[in-house]
Amino acid sequence: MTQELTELGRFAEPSMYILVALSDGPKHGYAIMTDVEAISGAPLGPGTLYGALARLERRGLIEALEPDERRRPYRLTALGATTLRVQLEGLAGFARTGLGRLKETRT
Amino acid sequence: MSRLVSLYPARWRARYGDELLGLLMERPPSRLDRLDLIRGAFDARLHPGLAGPGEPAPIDPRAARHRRAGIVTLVGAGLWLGGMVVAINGPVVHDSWGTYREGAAALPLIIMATALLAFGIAGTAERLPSGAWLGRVGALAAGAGFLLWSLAPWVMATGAVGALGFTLLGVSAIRSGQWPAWALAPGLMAILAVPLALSGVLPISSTFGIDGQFVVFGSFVVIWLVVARPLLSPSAAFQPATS
Repeated sequence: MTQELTELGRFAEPSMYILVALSDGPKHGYAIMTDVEAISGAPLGPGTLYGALARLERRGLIEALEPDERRRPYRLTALGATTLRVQLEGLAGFARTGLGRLKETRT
Repeated sequence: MSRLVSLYPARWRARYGDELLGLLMERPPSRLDRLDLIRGAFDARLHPGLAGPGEPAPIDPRAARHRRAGIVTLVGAGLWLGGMVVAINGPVVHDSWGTYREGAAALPLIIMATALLAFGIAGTAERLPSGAWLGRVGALAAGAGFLLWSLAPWVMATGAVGALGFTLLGVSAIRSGQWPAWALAPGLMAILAVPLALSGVLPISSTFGIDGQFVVFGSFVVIWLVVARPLLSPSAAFQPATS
């Protein structure tokens, strides 16, 4: 079972980036923010970050770990990892289809 | 920064507020980040369930009471100014006391305004630390003194008791962090204007004529505002008692 990220509305895209940021291990808010900005090349506002984190946590895609002072790390859950994999595979399929059609048009 | 985080609902702050503040300390927010936080706070208020299934953060019943006291005190400020407007439009009287403006029609408004101030004073006293007994005595003197003075404004002694009590309350409120350090000054300046005007040091009569007394008394409105402001502000230093 996976969750549809599209139901998160304007938080769908940042949520996807956050899941990718957490895919190589737990990170706290600031680390997630800088990683997302590096991946996407666009700034991620703190309000959007925490709006997305709250939604992902509520849906069981990520979980909060014990805080270290004011830094609370988050990690991907099994459901989150599966959901991310399905989303990325969908995107990969979409990219393959698009690239294949472009190739056909050129030839 | 904490002001931006305070825009979020209490339950949300209880869950994410601390780490968000930590993040903002690590990366001070840009102008766009501030807008993003305001938008995020709006979103959190639209979706209260986001902060988790837990019980809503406990709300100290005194906090709501203090807020009401602040609102009531602000209404009192309006009534006080209204009283001055009524007084300043009263008839001019010439009798054995001299020429003056009869302001008796304003008395009901003035009494009501002072009674409402007593709520703010009581709220301020309740927020003082448990050991601040002098501040509480001051609050009692301020509330009673001002109210008695409003019933008979020509009896200056009651006003003086109120002023002394207000000073003691203000010092305690400043020491406990409830009032900012400057908060006592405007009220005391307004009160001190009475003896200064009566002694002729302040040229109130020559400037405003027979309406001078109402100009001086009108400035007393800062007392209401100084008392109301911290009661309305959630960020004012108020630590609910843990016992």
